[in-house]
Amino acid sequence: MLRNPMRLSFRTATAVAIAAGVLAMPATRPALADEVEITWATFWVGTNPLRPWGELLIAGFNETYAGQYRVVTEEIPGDAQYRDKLRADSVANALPDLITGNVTLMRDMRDSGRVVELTPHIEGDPEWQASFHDDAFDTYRTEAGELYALPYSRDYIGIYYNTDHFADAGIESFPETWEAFFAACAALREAGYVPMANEGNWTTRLMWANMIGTQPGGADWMRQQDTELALAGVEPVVAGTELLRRMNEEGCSNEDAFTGQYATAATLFLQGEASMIANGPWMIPNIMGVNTETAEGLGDRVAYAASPGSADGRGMIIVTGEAGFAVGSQDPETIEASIAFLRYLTSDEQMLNQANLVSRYGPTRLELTPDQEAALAPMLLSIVDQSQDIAHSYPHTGMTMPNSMIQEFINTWPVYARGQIDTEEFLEILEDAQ
Amino acid sequence: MSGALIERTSGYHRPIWLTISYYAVLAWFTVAMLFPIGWLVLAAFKTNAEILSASSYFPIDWNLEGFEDALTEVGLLGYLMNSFIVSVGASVLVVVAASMAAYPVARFRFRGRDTITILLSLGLVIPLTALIVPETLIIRAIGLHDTRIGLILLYSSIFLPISFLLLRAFFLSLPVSIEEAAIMDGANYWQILIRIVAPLSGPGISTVAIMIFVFTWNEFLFATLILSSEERRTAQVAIRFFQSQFDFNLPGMFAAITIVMLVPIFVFIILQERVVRGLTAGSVKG
Amino acid sequence: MQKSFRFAIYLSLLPALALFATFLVFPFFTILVTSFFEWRASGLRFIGVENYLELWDSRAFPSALRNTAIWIAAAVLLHVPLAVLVAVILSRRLKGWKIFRTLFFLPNIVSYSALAIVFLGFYNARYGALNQVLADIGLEHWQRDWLFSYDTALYALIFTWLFHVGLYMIIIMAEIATIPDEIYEAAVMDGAGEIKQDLYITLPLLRNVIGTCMILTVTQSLIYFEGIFLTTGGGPANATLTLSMATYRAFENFHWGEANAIGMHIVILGVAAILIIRRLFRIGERYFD
Repeated sequence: MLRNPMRLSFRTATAVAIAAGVLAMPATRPALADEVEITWATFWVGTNPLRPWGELLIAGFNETYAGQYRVVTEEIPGDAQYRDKLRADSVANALPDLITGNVTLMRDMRDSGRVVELTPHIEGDPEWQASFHDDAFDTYRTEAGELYALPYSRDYIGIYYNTDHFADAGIESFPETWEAFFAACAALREAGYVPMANEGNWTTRLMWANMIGTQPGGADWMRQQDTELALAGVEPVVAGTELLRRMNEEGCSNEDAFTGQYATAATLFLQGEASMIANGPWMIPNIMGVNTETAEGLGDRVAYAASPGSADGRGMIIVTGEAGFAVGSQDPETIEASIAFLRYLTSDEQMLNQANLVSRYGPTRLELTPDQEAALAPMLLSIVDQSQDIAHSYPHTGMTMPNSMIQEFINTWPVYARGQIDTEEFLEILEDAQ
Repeated sequence: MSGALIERTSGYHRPIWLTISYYAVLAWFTVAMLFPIGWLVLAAFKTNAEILSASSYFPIDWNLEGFEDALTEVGLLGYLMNSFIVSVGASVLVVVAASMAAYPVARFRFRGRDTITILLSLGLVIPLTALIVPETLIIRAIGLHDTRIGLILLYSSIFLPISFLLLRAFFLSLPVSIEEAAIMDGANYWQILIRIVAPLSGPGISTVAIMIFVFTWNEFLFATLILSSEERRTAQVAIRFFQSQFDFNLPGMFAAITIVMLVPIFVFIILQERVVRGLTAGSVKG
Repeated sequence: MQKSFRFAIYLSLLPALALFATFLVFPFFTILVTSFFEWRASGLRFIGVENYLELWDSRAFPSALRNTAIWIAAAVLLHVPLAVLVAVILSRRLKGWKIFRTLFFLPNIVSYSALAIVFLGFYNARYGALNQVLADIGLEHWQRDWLFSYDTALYALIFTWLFHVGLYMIIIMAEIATIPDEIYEAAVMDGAGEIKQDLYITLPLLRNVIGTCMILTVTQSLIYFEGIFLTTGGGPANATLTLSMATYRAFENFHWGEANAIGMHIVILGVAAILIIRRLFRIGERYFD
């Protein structure tokens, strides 16, 4: 499945791009007269995987629009602090021109009423508008039809698995049904591996989405947005949640599966101790050993698959706009400059950079030449390919559940997984948290 | 010039069982301290995987990459100066303001005395989360956003109640006789405060100064909220560049923490010297 | 005597009051007022005492109260007394006492984000040092997921700071350093041993400062949340949820009115605790007349 030359080219591309980004860095020059300067408050800094792309974006934008616009950054490390700061700034009516973040932050920005409505800008540029997938704007559109943020991601999220472990445990192919999944877990366990890396937060919630989404009616339930959610007694939710508990009961998980820290799960998989992990394609660079120490040759031994499903077929988490940009500018000049930045962000060139550097697709119809495609990570291509023949697609819980419900999941999941409360009580607690 | 306690015990021979008991207590606390501190210093020499797995207490290979990353990738040394300016500024300001307020409250009866104590005590129980938005608004309203002086003033206010309370306790235990004598000699309020009370309170003042230095040195949320320019960034904020939601460089982070720790350790050792000296025997009467 | 000082006294109070008025009065009123509002990103809406009623009716609130009480009890009954013990011993200036003093203060110098990772590793269910030690001494059946099991999480968390007494230790040592020798002379003449000296002379003289440490430890316990946030986040099933952790959770979920309603509980409990401790330790009962 993974051919070596491809991997090499992917690595080389990454290295070249990073080098280009680093070289472009000293391009900080004083602002020219008449240049409109905009500020991008960003957490794409330090070890954040998006950083190399961000550096290319800034350098490229400032070069393309030299003399006209110029973007400068305000670097804020850590997602939590970033959110604290942006929310305080929104109350103070002092938002930066460009704000980036996940759907939770974008909704906070929407509610603050202090970000620019983007619809007229996008409709005013039919060519730009046409470059997006039809459903690209669904996530960030209000009921009144206003667009409060622009998505830059379209994620196909599957399950990574260690092919060596699978071969060792005598499993021939990635399980297609949940029953086969649990059989595979038992075999992997028997062979001495941790079948699935979990931490009781992000990766566990991805599995939860898979388990609900592949039930009859589950995908529709998962797609609800901005409504009061009912969980207790809802057939696909109950079934999916009990599958998730079963994963823990049958020893599919690591012993330290409740830390809530992504690092717990990721390290287990990257060190070749766990056989599976659910995560998005942005983990591919890490699996290939970019900026991370991984088990020797791990990149050659990992494949990426759609989720197991029920009898009618497999499932996959597909989300557009898990992350986006909002515009906080207040005067016409800076608004115009910020829109120019968004246009540049979603240009083919930059969407290709994103795919190359962070293994993430954008929300646009990006036509790739065979050469360009060959340079992308094979696992990324493989998961997009598999998205063609799945029976169910659905978003993950981060898209549809309010933050408070997600926090309550992390809080209560350990006692539910250990059988200290029953499914109904668990789901009622979650329901009450919204 | 000998310290108070040496004299106190002269002519007295400590029984061996007591010495052993003392050291047993100290040994237990040493283990409780050294385990985490040693662990995190040694983690700077490990790898991410070693830190997050069942590895031995000591690193397998002594890896210096973490320190390299700390010094080159986030340019830590440059930010130490920013932290130092803010911490020294806040410590000095808060010690001066809190001493000036705590002394009269500890020593004189005047109208509003208890009100002031209760009012300042309120500052001890405001949850941090309740400060985030109001402080952002205040700092912007007085035009001190992205300035060191803004951060220094904010820190001074946040740590004022704790300093006030402690200094008041220290002042309360000073013997009143010297001040009374000074008043007889016609000294005014400021002369008493600066020439008599401040020197006698050396141990208390330097202890509060250390505390505030360490608190502000470790603070990063308000440093993030209030300072936005890179050239004013503090070391604690820089350390956060090693951790993000989906990626982390733990050796780099622990190396940075180890380096950043050194400054308050030196400050501690220097300032605590004053606590040793204490009062010269016979200089005061209780 | 005092009359001539009056002006100077008020002048002397000015800087502290100015700082307080600028930076702490407004936040305090924000907590008070907005606890009666629904405050989300979209703005403020007056809802009376609804935040309070919802809070008292919630699953989490009784846990938060209980856990906060346990946390404070550990701080008052164990943490500060241990600090006094260490301070008194170190003040005897045994060999190496300065090194011990610096050593014991070290955990206060390190920010909690680092210690959180250390203790997550120490208590880890799969590879943690604690479980390994238990296995080594034949107590396998004691092994568990310390930080993420309902029954052990709170106590595991309390143990992360219980012995880190450095802060209160240096405060108390500073106070001991100002006790004049003469006070001990008579006792030494009578042949009183060190323990007797400490019990009957030192401890009573430390009344003010120990009372102050109690106020600090109770109020700090009430508003502390970083170490909880960075390890258990208040879980599992609210086992480690304290009032201030609940405030942070509500704040993160953008339920700011609710966060400040919890904040009001912290303020009221804190002020009550301060008044009680002042009375118990008779702090401040000594001044010029």
